[in-house]
Amino acid sequence: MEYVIVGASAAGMAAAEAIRKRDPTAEIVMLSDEAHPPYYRPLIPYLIHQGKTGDEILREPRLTPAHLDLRLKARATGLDPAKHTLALTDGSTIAYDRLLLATGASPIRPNIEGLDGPGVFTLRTWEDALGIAKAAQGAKSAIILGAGRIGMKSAFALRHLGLSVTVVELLDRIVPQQLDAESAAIFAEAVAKAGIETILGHTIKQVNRRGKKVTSVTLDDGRELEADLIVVGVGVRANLDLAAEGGLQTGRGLIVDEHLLTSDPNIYAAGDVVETKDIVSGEPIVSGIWTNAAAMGQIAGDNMAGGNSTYAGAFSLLNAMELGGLPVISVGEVHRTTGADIEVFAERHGSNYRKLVFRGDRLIGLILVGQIERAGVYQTLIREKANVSTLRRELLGSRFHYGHYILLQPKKIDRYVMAG
Amino acid sequence: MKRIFVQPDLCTACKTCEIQCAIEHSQAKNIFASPSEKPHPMNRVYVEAADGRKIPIFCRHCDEAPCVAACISGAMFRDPKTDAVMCDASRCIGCWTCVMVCPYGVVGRQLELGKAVKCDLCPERESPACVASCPTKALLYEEVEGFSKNKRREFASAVAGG
Repeated sequence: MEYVIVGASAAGMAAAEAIRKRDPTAEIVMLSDEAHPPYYRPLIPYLIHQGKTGDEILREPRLTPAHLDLRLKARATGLDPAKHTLALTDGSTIAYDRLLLATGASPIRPNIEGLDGPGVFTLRTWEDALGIAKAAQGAKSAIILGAGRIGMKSAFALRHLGLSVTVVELLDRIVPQQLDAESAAIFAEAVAKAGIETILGHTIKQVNRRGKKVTSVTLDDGRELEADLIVVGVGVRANLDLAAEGGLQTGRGLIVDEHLLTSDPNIYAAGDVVETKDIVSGEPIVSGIWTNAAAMGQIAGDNMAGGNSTYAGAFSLLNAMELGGLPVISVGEVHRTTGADIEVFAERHGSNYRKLVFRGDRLIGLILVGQIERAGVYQTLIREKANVSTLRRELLGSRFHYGHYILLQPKKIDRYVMAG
Repeated sequence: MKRIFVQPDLCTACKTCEIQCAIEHSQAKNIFASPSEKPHPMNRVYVEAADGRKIPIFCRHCDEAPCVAACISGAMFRDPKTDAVMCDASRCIGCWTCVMVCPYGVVGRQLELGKAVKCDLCPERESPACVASCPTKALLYEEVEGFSKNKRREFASAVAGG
């Protein structure tokens, strides 16, 4: 059996590992269109301020499946599902018995006058990070468009290098996907303390250049801000070219069934490219989250090698991070605060914040800032759609733990005592 | 492959396991000297109470460990020799993804270092410090294979029952 995996990040690697587990001798070819060996994509912001070297973000050999036929700078542009072949840009073709498309996503470049050209960056790859690092040398000021995770990580990295940094965000708060108004306010303090300026409720109308060099940006209200470089972090879009080439069914992402099988019986998909369903709401979702991608890869790989694993769906939010020394974990539907059966509990003490969103007897969303201990137990309740009606009091306290959960899930006790 | 088994019905919540765990994971490994160390020694096992019962809460070193799958920096890994799930502090960046995904809530945070801490089954010891010190034998360190299914069931019903 010949397995071919397109993509060498979270989903691709998890799939290779799952295949290897079931089939110790199978041939696994992995294609990466990047020049660098597989690395931990979430760590690339560290390359901007040399917080880590390239070697330090490489995937650990102990976490890389054995005998992987890894081909770098290999970009597949053709897919023929009838012949079971991929066509590469170098003119070669690769045959597969089972194919995984883990082609990921690419940063969106908004339509802004003057945006195209040198000095404007997105941050998705190792090379992107090196490009920003190089541009930062000798630069005095940077503008970040978008206050999401990528935008804020870029802002902190560039601030670390001593640049004056301004983040421009169209919405009314920073990290708007992951934070609500209250928690964003807590982080706004940490961001301001780091010397990063934020402009909320506005966007960039125009990038101004002298010759090719970026000199400033003009905001939608006419304000002009000096800038030597610009980082754009306004989201990503699924890389669907190869899927479309193969005639596979696509929507906003590559459409799969609960086994992560595409519309072709020999082609699976996992990670940021996939359109699956939201585990909480059941609505279609293209996730773009590392943790979801790794989970999908594991299931797709297992199924490719003869398993029968099903994927329950992706979380719209499943993010942990530390920003300005303050940790936050956000899971599920944290922004749904009105509607039938919706109840919200929120409590702030200084920079500690806890928000729980309930729908009927279920917990559907969680934000923890500061004290994030045992967040995984809450996450499990959301994932399992557990009836928490009798746990309400414990959940609202800050001492909720696995012991509460286990007593209400008698079936789990056996597994717990049996050591996993 | 040895694992820690818990018998919640024997647990008195004396928390000796928590204390001995923290001491074992300190530099001095001494109950008088360890508490004043920097960074502060931390326990990786927990005893909690719920509904009037005492419940030791331990890392299960899961077969499909969510913390290993989700780790964004390659810090969480499975030791090929012991099969234990370990955290390589040198790779940990303190993003807390492991805290978010651990269903048992047993990945802790060493705040002074900004690193995740978890049970490592005390690789330098024959028997983990928590098990060796448990005065009521609520904790056992046994080969998974040899630990009979009936015995496990007994424990399970002890927790579930009454």
